[in-house]
Amino acid sequence: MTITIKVKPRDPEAAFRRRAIAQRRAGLNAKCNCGETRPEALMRVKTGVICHACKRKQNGMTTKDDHHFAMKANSRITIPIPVNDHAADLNVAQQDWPKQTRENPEGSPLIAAAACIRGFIDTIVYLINKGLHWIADMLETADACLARKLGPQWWKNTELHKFAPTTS
Amino acid sequence: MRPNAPTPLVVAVRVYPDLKDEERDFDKPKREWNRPDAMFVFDTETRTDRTQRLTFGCYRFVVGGQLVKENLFCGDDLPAKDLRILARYVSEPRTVVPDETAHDLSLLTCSEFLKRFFHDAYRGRCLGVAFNFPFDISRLAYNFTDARGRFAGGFSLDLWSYLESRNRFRPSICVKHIDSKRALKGFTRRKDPDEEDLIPEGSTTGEIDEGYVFRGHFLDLRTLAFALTDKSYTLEKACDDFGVEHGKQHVTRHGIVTPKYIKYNRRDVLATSELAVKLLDEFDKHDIKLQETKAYSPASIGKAYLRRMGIKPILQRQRNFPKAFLGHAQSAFFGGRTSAHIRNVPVPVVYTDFLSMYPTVNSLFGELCRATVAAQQGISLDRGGLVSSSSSRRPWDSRALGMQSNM
Repeated sequence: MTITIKVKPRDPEAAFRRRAIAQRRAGLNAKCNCGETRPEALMRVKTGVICHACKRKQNGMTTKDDHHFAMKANSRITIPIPVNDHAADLNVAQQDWPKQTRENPEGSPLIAAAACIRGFIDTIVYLINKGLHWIADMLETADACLARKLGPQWWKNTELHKFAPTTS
Repeated sequence: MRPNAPTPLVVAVRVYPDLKDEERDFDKPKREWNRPDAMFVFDTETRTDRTQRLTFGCYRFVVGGQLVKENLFCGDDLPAKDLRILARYVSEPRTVVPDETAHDLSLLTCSEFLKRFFHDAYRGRCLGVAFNFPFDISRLAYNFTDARGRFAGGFSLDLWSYLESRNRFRPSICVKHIDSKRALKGFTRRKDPDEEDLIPEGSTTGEIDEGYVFRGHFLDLRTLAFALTDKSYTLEKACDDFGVEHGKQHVTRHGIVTPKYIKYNRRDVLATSELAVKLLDEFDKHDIKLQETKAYSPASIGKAYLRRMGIKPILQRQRNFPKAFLGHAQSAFFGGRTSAHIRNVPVPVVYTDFLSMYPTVNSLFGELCRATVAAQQGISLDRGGLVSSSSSRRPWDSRALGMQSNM
């Protein structure tokens, strides 16, 4: 089972509402041919449901988006992010920020700094989920696989023995 | 007046309209129902005078069984003294039960609370849960009118106002009582709904239906408990019977805002939310396709079982059955009615419930039935219903059988 880290929503009621509306727009149990199921990453076309990435591929466009990590009003810095993750993870996370921080209409430097912190946290959480979690999952699966084939202490008398934890 | 003058009588004609959609109604293709994983559980406290106006209340927003938000709200006309008590209460995080994690509370005005209710229950389409829902929701309304259409005969409650009149960009909530345990409830259409509000519930395509009106997912636990058990429950009894961990508590005095009373209200909401989980678990044991918000009685569950078994109603199986016979059968039915003569004026009332009327009537009908059978067989009955030798009394004479009770 893949565990994902999520920043606790600032306004969980609004987060639920946005999720419910996105789900309704995509349709019940909607899924793209590529397997994408996150409702925020899906859009309806005449033939059914398609994800942003597949749609871009069909149109011969890039599947990467430039993500304003602190939102456009606060910083011009962008990072390239797969379009589905942009729509379903990072944009959703930014929707939970205070409206004042998202829009920063007066251009306040303190608000901009707050946005940078929020954006950094969201991006780190995204990178942890996408870049690290799968490794933990893979190691646990590999251990189970080796234990089945070589016994419960499969690492004994191998190069990996030195990594075994010392309990005493 | 001449002795043989005709006496004018009022003639009432009963009409049984043949519904166009009666077939569709029973076996219409049901929209797929996925129970929302979020619940908006609320409870209100009121004054104890005859107006029973809102003093304060509490709500819990639960997603996936986890509490994500709990807030208090207060009535718009609450005295400053009571407001201070509520404000002081929410200023420090307190738990309702010792094993609960401490969390922040906010004090909302009634309009702020209703805004959240609109966004969660209407836009987010979560379950709106209360015990005796019609009472609690009516405490939040600022105005009411007579409902129309499918709720004709009920009330249309205006919850959201704009410039001292109804906000037409917000729905009303209609409530039509069936009896003390059951009521039909639903949002009405609002002006210029958003596109996503026009997507029918359970739609797999996400397409907009211009004629669709989202009626809400209002779950009255009193009704659901009745549907599951055929018993009329109070919150306390329901919590006991369904094994709720943190059941209802008691308070010595109602209507006066005190920290103890606020805690009592929060505990009620906690008990309600736990009871909702227990009742939904119980409901899930039935392998039927019935929306739990539409389980109004044990008969609803029974009908859902018949649908599940593929048993169609008699008129679908025997389409040529003469309607005239149905008319005759329906003519034999007498439905009692009540009426209010004084309206819009708060008056003291006495709650009078003729609880045993139906058993009495049925019992008397049973007596009459046996007498009729006896008459056909040429024998008579004594007062105790025992067969005795033939007498000169007419066996179907109700007076002879002691049937002088008023029904």
